[in-house]
Amino acid sequence: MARIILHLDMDAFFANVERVLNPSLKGKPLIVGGNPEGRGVVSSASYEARKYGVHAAMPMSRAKKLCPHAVFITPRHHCYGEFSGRIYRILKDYAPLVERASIDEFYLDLTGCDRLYGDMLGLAGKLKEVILRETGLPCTIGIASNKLVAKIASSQAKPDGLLRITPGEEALFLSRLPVKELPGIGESTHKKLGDMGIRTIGDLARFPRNLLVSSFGKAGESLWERARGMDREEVRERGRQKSFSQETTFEKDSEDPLFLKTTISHLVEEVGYRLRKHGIKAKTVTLKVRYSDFRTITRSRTGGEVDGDAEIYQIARELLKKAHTRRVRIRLLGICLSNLTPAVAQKQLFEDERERRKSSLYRSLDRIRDKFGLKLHFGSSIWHQ
Amino acid sequence: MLFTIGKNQIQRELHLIQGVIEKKNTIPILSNLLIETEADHIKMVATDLEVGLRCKSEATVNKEGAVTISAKKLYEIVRALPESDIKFEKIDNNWISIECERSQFKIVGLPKEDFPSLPEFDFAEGISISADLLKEMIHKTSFAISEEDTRYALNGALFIIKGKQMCMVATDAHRLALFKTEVEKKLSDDEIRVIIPKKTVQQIKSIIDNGEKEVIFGRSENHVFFKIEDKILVSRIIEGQFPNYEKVIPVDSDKEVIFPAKDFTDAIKRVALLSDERSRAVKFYINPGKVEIRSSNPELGEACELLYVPYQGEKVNIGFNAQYIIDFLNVVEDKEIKFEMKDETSQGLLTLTEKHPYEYTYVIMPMRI
Repeated sequence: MARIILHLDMDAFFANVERVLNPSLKGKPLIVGGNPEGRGVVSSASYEARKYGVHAAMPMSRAKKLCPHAVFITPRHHCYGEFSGRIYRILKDYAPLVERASIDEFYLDLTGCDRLYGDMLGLAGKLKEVILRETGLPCTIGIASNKLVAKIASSQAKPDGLLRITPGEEALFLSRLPVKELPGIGESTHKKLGDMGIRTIGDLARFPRNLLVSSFGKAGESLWERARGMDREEVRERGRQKSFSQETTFEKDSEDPLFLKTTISHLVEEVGYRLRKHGIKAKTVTLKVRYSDFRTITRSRTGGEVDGDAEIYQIARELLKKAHTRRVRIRLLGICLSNLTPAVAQKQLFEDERERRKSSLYRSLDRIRDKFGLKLHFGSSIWHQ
Repeated sequence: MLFTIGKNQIQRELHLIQGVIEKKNTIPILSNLLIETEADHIKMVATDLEVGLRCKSEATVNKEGAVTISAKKLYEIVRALPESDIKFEKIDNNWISIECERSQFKIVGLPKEDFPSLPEFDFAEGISISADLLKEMIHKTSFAISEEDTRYALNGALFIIKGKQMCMVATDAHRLALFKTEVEKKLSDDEIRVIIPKKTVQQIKSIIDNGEKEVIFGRSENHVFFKIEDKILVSRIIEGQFPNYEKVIPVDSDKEVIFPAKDFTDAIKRVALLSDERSRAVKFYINPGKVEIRSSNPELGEACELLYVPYQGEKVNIGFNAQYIIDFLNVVEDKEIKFEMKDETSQGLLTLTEKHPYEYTYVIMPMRI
């Protein structure tokens, strides 16, 4: 039986959430990202700003040049997370299986539900309507017999669109699209395919399978299959989060120890907060250092389970000592927490006083952050109380 | 050394000794057992330096002597031999010859001098304890002993004797089992308070088997001793501070549910089939007149069981590790179980409603789900 997969992608998610929270921004070009004077990148741009050529992942300075009159906003991730949760809950009412692929992207498996809902286009239209009514946010939906084609369909229908690819027409739909539209094709693969004379997904599908395998190995096999609109990937309910990470590119490259220390403490506070929100502990802490010549080093440590900022900070400081070996300025620092232990927490019978006080301190700090967001930094002094 | 012994005289002893021998021991002599002859019997000794077992068996001794041989091999050989007399003889270089009917074995041994000596105790000074009671006590608590090495003091059961009272407590910091009893005769004037390793209590449980009446218990500074008829178990005491268990037994639980034990056991075992494999979490939805137990597993699906109970209190939803509850239900034979709770963050209390010559308390910490 053909599957019915629906891919729902929020349009200019961060920018539109900002608009819902501040209606005076309606109709204005909006760019959410780092400091426009600095070296951050665009996280999200409203369609008004996109007209000027601004797109996500573009350096902020460039965006500012292209669209100087835009409203620039620093991201408020906790707000977006909350909206994302609301959308997820709405979708759960309609579909038995909902995968939250990212903060603004969802897959729904509606196989077998056609007898309940009748026309899938009708249901998709209704979902768009309900989400808009409940959250004020527009989205685009792609419907197909697998995740890959549904995702490409929604990317083609953006913004505020709806597109269904009927089973059997997947390859035809993909054939005229440039190969770059196929998820998973990065810069180098794209260039290599270009050298082989492959421009469209159709070219790729017609290319002999064995030649693809000989140039790309195992990945060639999957490229060929996906170019023909074949994908067996299943919709997975809440694929457990594997890691929490945060990184920052500095306004100016630095090797000032105090600056590096403070940056680490800010990063730790952010990831620590997110980790605790999920009620999870991490066994591995990884520090990423990128020097001004783009040489990047990561150092990690795996040990006991941690979830407190003070412990994570302590480990990150030691890792920085190990990673920062060159006398070159640093342009980026990042922290990643992984090796997560399950979110269901078994409570302890004999909680020692220190542990109890520690967790109550973090509960209080996290409550303050719930209110004021991640802009607020406590600094390492407070954890050592 | 030369002696003859019946297969049945020695097989059970050898089996018990297997439990003491450390499987992955790096000191070769510790995988051996020491056999010594004494007038009309033989003595067998095995130890892993933490626990030691000394057994006696009647034998026809023709020539005195002692030797040590592989405990595992000897057990395998004896088990495979026919029900008949077995002749043991030490030959040159600590080799042992074992003969039984038409079978003959020769195995390598090590000299007696290499075998560690076990501490001794004068059992005239010991305390006599009912064997059945001790076995029951271990049965109902030892499963809760921690398997993790991080908190050393929890790797054993706390054993307390004071006046006429005797009690055993075991916990892994998530749940706790407490068995308390009072006997007719005074046991000891001074309080005895020792943490006994898990392996030791399990050994005691398997030794008490053949309708033994009493166990004589004794302690020295670093060791405890249990004499069960002609077998003596010696064990090191775990040093360390056992947590204050009395403090975590809840006294303010205001919700009390009486479960029919069999239905409850069946229900929770079924629901547990679909709980998360690592956390084993199940959730209780307690409502007036009924309790629902639910589990869900993102990879597999979900399960729900409904039990009708005479409960009239407030509604409450609490998550627990199903395995911890099953462990408790596996060791009780009562018809009814009393489950007391307060809220989703306070400990649950499981007890028995029938009258017993002992008090049995099981405390279990909830899970946040």
